[in-house]
Amino acid sequence: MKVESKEDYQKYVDKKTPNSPILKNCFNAFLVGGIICSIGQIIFEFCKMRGLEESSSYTVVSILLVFLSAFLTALNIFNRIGKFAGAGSLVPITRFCKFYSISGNGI
Amino acid sequence: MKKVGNQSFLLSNPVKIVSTASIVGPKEKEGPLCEFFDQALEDEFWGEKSWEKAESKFIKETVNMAIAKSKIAQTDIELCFAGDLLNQCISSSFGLREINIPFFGIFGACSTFVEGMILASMAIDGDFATNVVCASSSHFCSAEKQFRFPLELGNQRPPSSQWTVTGSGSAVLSKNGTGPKITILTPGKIVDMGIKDANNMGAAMAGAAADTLLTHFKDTGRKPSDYDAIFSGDLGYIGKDILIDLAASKGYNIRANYNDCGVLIFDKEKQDTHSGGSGCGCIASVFSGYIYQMFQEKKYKKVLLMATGALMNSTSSQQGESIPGIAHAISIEA
Amino acid sequence: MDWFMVLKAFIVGGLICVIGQILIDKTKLTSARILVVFVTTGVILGGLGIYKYLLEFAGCGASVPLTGFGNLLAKGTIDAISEKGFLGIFTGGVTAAAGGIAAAVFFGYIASLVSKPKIKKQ
Repeated sequence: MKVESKEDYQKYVDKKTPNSPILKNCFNAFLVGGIICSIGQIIFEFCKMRGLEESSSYTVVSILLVFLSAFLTALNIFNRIGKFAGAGSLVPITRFCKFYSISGNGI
Repeated sequence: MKKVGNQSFLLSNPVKIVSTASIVGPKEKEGPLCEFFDQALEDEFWGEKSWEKAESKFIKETVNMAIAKSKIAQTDIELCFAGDLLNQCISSSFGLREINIPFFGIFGACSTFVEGMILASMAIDGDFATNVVCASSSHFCSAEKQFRFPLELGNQRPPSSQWTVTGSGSAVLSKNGTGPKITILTPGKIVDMGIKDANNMGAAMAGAAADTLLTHFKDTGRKPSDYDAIFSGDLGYIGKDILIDLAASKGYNIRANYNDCGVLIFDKEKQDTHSGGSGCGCIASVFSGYIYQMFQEKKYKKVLLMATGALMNSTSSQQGESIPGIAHAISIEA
Repeated sequence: MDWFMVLKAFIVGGLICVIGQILIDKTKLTSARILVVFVTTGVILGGLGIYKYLLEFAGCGASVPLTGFGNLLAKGTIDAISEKGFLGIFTGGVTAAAGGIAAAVFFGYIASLVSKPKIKKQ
């Protein structure tokens, strides 16, 4: 194993470092992200049935999902979902709320 | 002249490690070395209101315990070298504010514990002091908050990441008394291998570890097989492998008797700690608990203890800087 | 209840998350940077008038991921400009997203009051 330069060392380290299990991670992200969006859609349909117009319904969806994520964070459940789901919990708007709840907790 | 070779120092009067103490947190309590620690706690707050206060309590209690075990009066301990990972080393300074011993706060990242023992040995061998206490600590929660992300964010950790040990270790060194003796000091130079990935510290530090290790062998004329065991602080599984390769490429085979404290302190499969333990508290607690006891049980007669550190902070990472490493080594003999 | 719409939301939302997951695993981008990429993409696609087709097709599958939030900002800004002119550039985006933002701040604050930080259970 020859390490003559920093580039050589980086290439060597890349070979030595195990990769994340990307297929499993993508599947979990798809599942959890899909479920969160489906829950959102169900809430949306409910609002539409109640006669709310579209943009207000979308707002209700985001408010309720944000509430859910704050609630699950407070119960210490959300970080377990986060470890499992990766981007599945990061990308939906639920993650938006976490930056606020953790700032209080983080102190 | 005490200097030997390029950067090693031979102590004219070996310094005795008279006593040690180690206190760890709940995850370490569930690890393979749990029976070797003096105290292992059920929760990481230890009755305090914040993790930083808890970490201060860890180091305070560890130092008090080590001094009590040494049977040396606190007033006879002339110096204290301690440090940790938190900004401005507040864990040590706040934790030891009532210790009433002249205090040197030091920072070597995760190499702090051995850095402290080197400085303490120099103070004793240079006749500046007779008894010196060293300590260092780390806490998973306070470290994550400072270096990475708040815990509640629930981020995924890649396989190369390591788990900061919640724990503290302390050692009382003396000119007199009995105990395993520090004979040779090999302080390390900063070595930057250009690794930027803060989730792969082992790779970042392995270069420095190799540099210190190989320099130690060249300076002293010793071989890996001269030691019963060689320990690094927290290279983790990946860094350990890399160090073995780097040493082998220069003709030194350490595979048979080398291990890493970060690898030993956790069970990789059951505890999901990915590449292993890290943090100042890692080598501090593993040495003060496990390795010291192996000396007392006469299972080890000669050990090379090498702590490794990653000299970065959250700003340097965000600015796209690479992570320089450092490794300090001491030879300990029965 | 339009269950077909729920299914489309599931698939499209899941796929957008998969893109995020690939970014997490294959790049060194931090999670915060990935979120910024998503929001910005949403703003650009919304501003170009493309995102609304995805919204019509997948409903919450397009609005819940952060790209949807970016789209909301863009749409709000465009609507406000046509109503208020120049001032709309500043007021439009945040006004449109006000519900989600206020909820985030409010519920986040409440959550931090009632709970204690805990170590990751892993």
